[in-house]
Amino acid sequence: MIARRVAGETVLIPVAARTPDPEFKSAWLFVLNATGEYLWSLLDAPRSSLELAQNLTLEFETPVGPAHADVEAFLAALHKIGAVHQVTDGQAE
Amino acid sequence: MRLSMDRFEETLGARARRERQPLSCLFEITPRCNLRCHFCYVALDPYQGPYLDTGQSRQVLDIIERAGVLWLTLTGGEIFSRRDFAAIYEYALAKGFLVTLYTNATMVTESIARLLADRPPFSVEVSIYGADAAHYESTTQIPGSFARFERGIERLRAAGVPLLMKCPISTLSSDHVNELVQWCKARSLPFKADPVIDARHDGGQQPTLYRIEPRRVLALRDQLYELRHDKPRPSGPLPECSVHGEVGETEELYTCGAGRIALFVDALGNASHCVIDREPSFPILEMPWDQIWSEMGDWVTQPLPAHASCSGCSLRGGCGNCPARARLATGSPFQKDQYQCDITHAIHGLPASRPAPHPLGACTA
Repeated sequence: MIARRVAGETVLIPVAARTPDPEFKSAWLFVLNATGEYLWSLLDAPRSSLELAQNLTLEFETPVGPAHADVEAFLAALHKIGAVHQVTDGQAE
Repeated sequence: MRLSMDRFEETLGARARRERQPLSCLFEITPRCNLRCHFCYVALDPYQGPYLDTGQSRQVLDIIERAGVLWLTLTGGEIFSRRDFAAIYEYALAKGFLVTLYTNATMVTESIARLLADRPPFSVEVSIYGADAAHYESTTQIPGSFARFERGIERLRAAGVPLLMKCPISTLSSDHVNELVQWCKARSLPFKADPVIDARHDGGQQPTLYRIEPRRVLALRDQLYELRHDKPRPSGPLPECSVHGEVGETEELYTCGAGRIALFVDALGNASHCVIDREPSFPILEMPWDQIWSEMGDWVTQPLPAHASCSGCSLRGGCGNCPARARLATGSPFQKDQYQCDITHAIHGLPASRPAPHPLGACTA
């Protein structure tokens, strides 16, 4: 997955994307909103969901509880599309 | 968060067009080809190398990636005739482009098929000129090319790449459309036909000798519809009737995406708004990108002059006539391509239009 700036948005591009419809070049793309863009920028190194939520709280002034839930949902979506994978504490070091 | 292309077009695409941000680029990595199709629009004679080398091609990709291009199409000539195709292609993938390849498939080797299986492109569009050797080679003029084409297609299918078969319908193939469609259907490949042959990009008119009559274009569209949908084309408003430019754009020189969200880069490294109209062009490796994009925008969005042949025409929004084709046909982007005009009139059930006065008419008085 590669993050690109396209038309003012951050878009996650699957590296091996193939169109399911060659005539119309349709594609599944993942456009990040401001929060997603911020979280994605933090994912250049392994981080826990709690750590991400704490950062989000500081950056966007949101309560930790909802922020953590949002982060969990975001990570689950990224995991589903293969953009992130879970590592053990040992691997993270 | 997940967007289909349609949704993307509605959101980011619409904004990109409004704000003139490049989203797609057609990059000609070589004009050289192993086939000799009678109606090819590539003019090799005035267009000799040296062409961009591997490093320069990568620099072009760096520039258009920074500019925000997402959809990249590598075209030729024949792209697989470049020995460094893999190097350019893999670099493009690593940059995060959605890469489409235009090819005639006759040079797809086992190693290219392996590369495309391992590192799949977004899409591959293959030109098909006939469903048998006689028809195919009457266009390509290369004996044995049909067998190589069929072998290439089988390799691409085995590699699992998404294929779209495209046929430019000419006088050499217009009696052969059923066979072309059946050939594709038998292999479960989508088929698209383009009944319009353009002149060479240097204005050479030889390809236009192979154009089919405007009325035949219309009949062909119906025939293709019936073959694809197994039912007659519905009567009533044609799709062209509902095609309109954005508000305010219909009286600008270009109404399509050229120079607004799309650009072309040739094998010498010249960037232009359009593949068939390459003036004005800008050396992409020498000029600052912002200046190129700005000057390209000035050209495509300039007001359509009142004296232009298409000025005030209510059919302009859905007509194949454009400044590019006009320039190829007449030498002036402000005149019109009579062939396109006749097709549009036929679509709308109107009598043939009056030819525009020849741009040099005054000289003959």
